[in-house]
Amino acid sequence: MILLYDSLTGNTRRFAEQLAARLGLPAAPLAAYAGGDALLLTYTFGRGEVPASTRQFLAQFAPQVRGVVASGSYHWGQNFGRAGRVIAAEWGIPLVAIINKSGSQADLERVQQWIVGQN
Amino acid sequence: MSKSATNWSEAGDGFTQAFYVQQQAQLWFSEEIPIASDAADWRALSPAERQCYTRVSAGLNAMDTLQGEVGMPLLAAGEEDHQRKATLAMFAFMENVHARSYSMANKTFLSASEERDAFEWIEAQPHLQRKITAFRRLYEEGDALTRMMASCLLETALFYSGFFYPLYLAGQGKMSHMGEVFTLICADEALHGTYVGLLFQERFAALPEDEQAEVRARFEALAREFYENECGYTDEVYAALGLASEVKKFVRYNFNICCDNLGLERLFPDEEVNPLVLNGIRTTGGTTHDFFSIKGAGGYSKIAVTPLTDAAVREAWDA
Repeated sequence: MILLYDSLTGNTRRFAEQLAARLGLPAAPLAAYAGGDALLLTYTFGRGEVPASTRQFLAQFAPQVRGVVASGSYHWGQNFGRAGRVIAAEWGIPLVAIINKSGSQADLERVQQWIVGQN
Repeated sequence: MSKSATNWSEAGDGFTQAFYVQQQAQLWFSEEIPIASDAADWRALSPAERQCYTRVSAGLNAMDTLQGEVGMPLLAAGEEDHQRKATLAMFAFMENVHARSYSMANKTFLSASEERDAFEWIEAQPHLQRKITAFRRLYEEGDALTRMMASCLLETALFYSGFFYPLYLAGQGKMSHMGEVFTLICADEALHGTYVGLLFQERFAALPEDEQAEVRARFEALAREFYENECGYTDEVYAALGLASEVKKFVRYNFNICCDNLGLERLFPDEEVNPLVLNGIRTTGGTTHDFFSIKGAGGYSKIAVTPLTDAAVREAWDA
């Protein structure tokens, strides 16, 4: 499994890299994707929008994406990390976690357990 | 002096336009929220609760005033790019909208003498004065990177001792229209902190390693100094309500978000935010916003409209 991230401020990238270091898995930006099972890590912008770059990626590769992690900011209340729920609903991809900014240790553990459970 | 115009057809740095459009989409004014509908809730608060609410709002007013008058305008002046300047100038405008909304709340809920007391309290509160003096100096004497660090620290971390109480009450269904005002302000500050953090990250990444280490150390020292100051402020403002430890936890949580915005190591261990505060944000945020309605969590009331008649047009035309 590859950890594929779409990151604007670096938060999603940092989370993906920490996860990669824990699990010994590769982490890479969307543009580097070369096929195979992927966990998509992306962010939320505005009132819960999915980034255009993530949408473009999903239009092409959604069938290879096993799960999605969405970063967001708790300040948005009901729309916090909404991109994750939108992706789950539109593409039928399991939502693994919604994380605040670059996520907590508990978030890392939860996503790690999910990945381990996939094998 | 600039001799060119802003071209919004150019992608620019690839992110500024998105922030400009987002700030435009969440534009709001205090008149659009029926804060007077909280009057019965206000009267039901105890004197200690009212005092805490008044003081946190007064403190935030002072900080937003500093951001609107000094912080954001200097950040805008320090950028070359027209799109960036426009974005930061709009942020500055919103800081002034925030400051005005605190003042409008005073006008709505306080007597003239209580209002005067609140403004006098600001000038006598040592932690607040220390914060204002220090950050004004960082803005006026610091380089661009220092200004960005200061701005992000203020808006992402140092406002949160103040935001706690109104959100905590809104999470219990009290003062919920004012709760929406605070949620709107939080959303603006979250946007500003993310954007200014990105500008910081860009400059930081261009520095050689030894200078990065120096900036990192300077940030940590500044953050620790003003975390302590925030704790002193919290002890004073929240003492009567027994909430100080919950507030400090919320402040630490937001300091970590500030670190995330700047792309630097987090300073504090993970903690959970008080669920009532989260509930306050969840229940008062995300309502429909447009220019023709009064914004409010409670509904969708049309703003007062006076129909234009032919007679009125003729009168205006002839005048």
